[in-house]
Amino acid sequence: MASVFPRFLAALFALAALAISPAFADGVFPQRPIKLVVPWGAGGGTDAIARTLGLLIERDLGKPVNVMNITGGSGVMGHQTVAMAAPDGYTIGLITAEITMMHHQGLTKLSGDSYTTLGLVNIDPAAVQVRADSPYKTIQDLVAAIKANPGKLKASGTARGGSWHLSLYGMLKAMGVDPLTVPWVPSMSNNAALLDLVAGGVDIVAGSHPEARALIDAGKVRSLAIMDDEPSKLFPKVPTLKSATGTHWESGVFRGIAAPKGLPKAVEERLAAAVKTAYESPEFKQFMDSRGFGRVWRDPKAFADHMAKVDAESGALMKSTGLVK
Amino acid sequence: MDPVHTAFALVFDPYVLVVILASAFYGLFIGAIPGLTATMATALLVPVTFFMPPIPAVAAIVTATAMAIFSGDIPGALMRIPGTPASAAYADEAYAMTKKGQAELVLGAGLVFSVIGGLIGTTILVFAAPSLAEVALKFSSFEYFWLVVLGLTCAIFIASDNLAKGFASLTLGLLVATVGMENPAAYPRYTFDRPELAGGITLIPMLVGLFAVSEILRFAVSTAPTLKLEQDRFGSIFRGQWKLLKQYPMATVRGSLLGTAVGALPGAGADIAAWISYAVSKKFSKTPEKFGTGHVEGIVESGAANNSALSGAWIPALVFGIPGDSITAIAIGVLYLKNMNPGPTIFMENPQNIYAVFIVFFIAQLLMLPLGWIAIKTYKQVLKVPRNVLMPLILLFCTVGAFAINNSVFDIGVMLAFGVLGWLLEANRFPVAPVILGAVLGHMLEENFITSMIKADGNVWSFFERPIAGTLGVVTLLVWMVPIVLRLSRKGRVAHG
Amino acid sequence: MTVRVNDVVSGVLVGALGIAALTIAQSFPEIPGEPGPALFPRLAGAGLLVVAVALVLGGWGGRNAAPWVEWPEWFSHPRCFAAVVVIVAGLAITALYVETLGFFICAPLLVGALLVALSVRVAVAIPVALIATAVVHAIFYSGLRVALPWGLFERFAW
Repeated sequence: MASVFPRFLAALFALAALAISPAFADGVFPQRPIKLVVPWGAGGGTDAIARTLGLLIERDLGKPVNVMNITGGSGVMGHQTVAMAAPDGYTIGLITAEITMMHHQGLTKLSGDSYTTLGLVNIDPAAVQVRADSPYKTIQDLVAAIKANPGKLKASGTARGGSWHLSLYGMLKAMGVDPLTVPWVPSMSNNAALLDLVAGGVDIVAGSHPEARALIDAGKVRSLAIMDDEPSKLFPKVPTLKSATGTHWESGVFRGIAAPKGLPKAVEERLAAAVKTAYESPEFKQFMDSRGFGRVWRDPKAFADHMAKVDAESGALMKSTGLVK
Repeated sequence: MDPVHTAFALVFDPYVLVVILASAFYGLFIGAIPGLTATMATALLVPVTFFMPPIPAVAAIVTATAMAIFSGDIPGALMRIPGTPASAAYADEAYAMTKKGQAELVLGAGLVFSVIGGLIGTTILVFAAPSLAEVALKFSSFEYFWLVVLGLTCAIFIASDNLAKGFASLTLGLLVATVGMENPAAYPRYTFDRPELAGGITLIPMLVGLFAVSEILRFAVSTAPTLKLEQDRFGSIFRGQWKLLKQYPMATVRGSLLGTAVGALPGAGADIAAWISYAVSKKFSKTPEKFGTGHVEGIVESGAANNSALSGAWIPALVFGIPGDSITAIAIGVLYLKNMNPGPTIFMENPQNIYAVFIVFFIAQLLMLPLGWIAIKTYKQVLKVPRNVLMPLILLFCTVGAFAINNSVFDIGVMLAFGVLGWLLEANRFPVAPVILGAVLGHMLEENFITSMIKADGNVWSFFERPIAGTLGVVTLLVWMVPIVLRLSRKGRVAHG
Repeated sequence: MTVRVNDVVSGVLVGALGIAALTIAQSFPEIPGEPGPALFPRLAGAGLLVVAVALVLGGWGGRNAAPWVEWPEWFSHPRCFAAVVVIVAGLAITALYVETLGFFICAPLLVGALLVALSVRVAVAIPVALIATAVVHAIFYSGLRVALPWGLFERFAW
């Protein structure tokens, strides 16, 4: 009996040695399955976008693309996993707007610069929502009420310092209102904030149209304006901030595909091409339209620029409103 | 053809039926394995439902979760390792019954009353969803705050003989809930600069550690012979259930209604429903002293509650697209994906789809009877495997389960730490279950208190100003005061008499 | 059973945890207009202190009935001791190294070692450990798409 164990160990080591030995063939990329890391949970909007893209990228590359949800640390863990992975193209990730904010809050050292960008596929602009039976029919009504009673109207939509928080504060600032006159009520999700809005707990919710869609359709919530230069596809009748007030302020969340820094040029180009093909496919368009997500394309360079711009804006806003030191 | 007929045709399609059957077995399997939960069953199903038409996709989720919540009772009763958090509330009680040789009665009760609870919850979902959802929409943080306080009060009711130790466990759970930055201030607390801790301590690895790993450790050092199920005496699980139903009709109905109501409130789910029901059952029982010694009454009530909560959670999900729990949060994503957008319009546009979903709910509940019977029989066979072979296998499943929830090896460490902690607590007669309750409710308690204070500019009376919040607040205070007043007056009478 | 302590000792331990929680919470910032992130940790810490006092007072009366610390009997049982070490060390090693070594190395080692420690014969333990690993991998990786780490076997990944 006792002789079995050493033999088992020997076999194990032989197998391990085989595994460590240099690659048998350096063929065309990809040789094996690719991991697509999602920093958020299965079943959410980000996950659904990643899974759709994953299928389409898989079709183009001819190797399985396995979606992997790494949800720890409020998005930090997933973003970190992508940035720290071996730069061989076998680990890519769907990175989200939080990457431009977390480092200002001291949660991570990573920023948009920590990645090789492959393509941005989605932007969902922020919008301002109120209860359907509230007296505020337009964004001007609302801003007038804020100015008349500083501190009385409460807003919500995400965690303290989250992207919708910054969107709203940025809008107020751009309109010449002190953002701190609208106290922010933190919420765990936009859904929870909308529920609180309907229950009469808060007065304003900042968030995207796809998130508010069900309650707007149900006649419980009214959207006053969207922080973008184009009206949204879901609710084209909701005015843009610029058309309603003349103030120019664009803000929203984005999602894009990225890989670790230092990717071989050939691999980078192959992956970027696969992301673009996936983005342009009719399946992706159909999926994004059915969920109401904004289908926006930025090539790798423009994606990096977009992150840098949002990063600078977020940093300045967080400092000026005392959200970070 | 009218929508109801179309709906039946949609469901009684061979492909859909095969999907329902397959997901039923899948749910039973996941739920029965310690470390794998109903929420995980749903999350892991998402990629699979991606390739399905709408009705089978939703059917797969509905069936799998119902089965998983029930089958979580099985390892709880037979090994004292609850398969899902929803079974943790009464795992000790169920195991005590098994030790008394009543394994078939407790498993049968778990099955039969899960089915009854599920059927009642589904009936309410079908006939009262829109109006109930309107009520759920009146709940703001003030109302939730009181609800959570009531939930925590339950821990006191079901606390063991030693109140101080029960309170210590509960407080420990509350402290665990403060870890991480998912608090209203988004400030990282007790994270020791570890990014893994920034999101807080994940409930599932903690639960698996406290219950399963500690049980494996206890087994490893026990020199006493392990509990043997008397296989020959393992009779019909259905025997005696009719008698139970006649004995506890109130408990059954109360559990089902409470479960549906708690489930329908966004943010509370089957787990909390089971805890509250168990406490309510003890509170209103004619024989509260029997609770904890292997008494079936609490299992009847909370078993019905956790399955009805599943249906309840779909009420706000279908009517307003607001998830009632973590399972429906995932299901809503699937509904949108399949162009069955939740909202009042779901009942008007393509009503056959929503009717089909309702039919699936009923099929899933009824299917639970034969399949649950098979599952229990199979599990009994599993227990024939010698424990010293079984325990390492359970440990492997626990490890994979803890890893899979976040794809994080850190959670394996969390599981280990809480395994050792649970082992030490148990040996020193600290109850383990309140740690879980504290960790589950701690987040909600803090979030709802702080956000309420921000909304009310620090005015404490605001917790009583809204009608529902005021009522809940007064009820909570009464629940606290009445036993104290009763005890004082009784003492007074003894002193004078 | 494991280490058993007198209620006085467990009270002191609970109190120490409470004090640690309170001490760390001192550094949490204040937020103007809000109760701030320190409130709940302080409440939990204070709660632990209250319980600690109750435990110490309650245990003081019975301090002669129960020994301060009761070492479990399995300390002198090599088999039991080995099993505990295998569970704790096995899980710790898995947590630390499974990403480098891979599931196919850590899983059979964890299961196999524990089987042997629980006095299952080696000839049974090895096939059981290998089959369990293969089955779990098939169910979770191939069936449910859980990204179990490949580690050293990355290039054989399917």
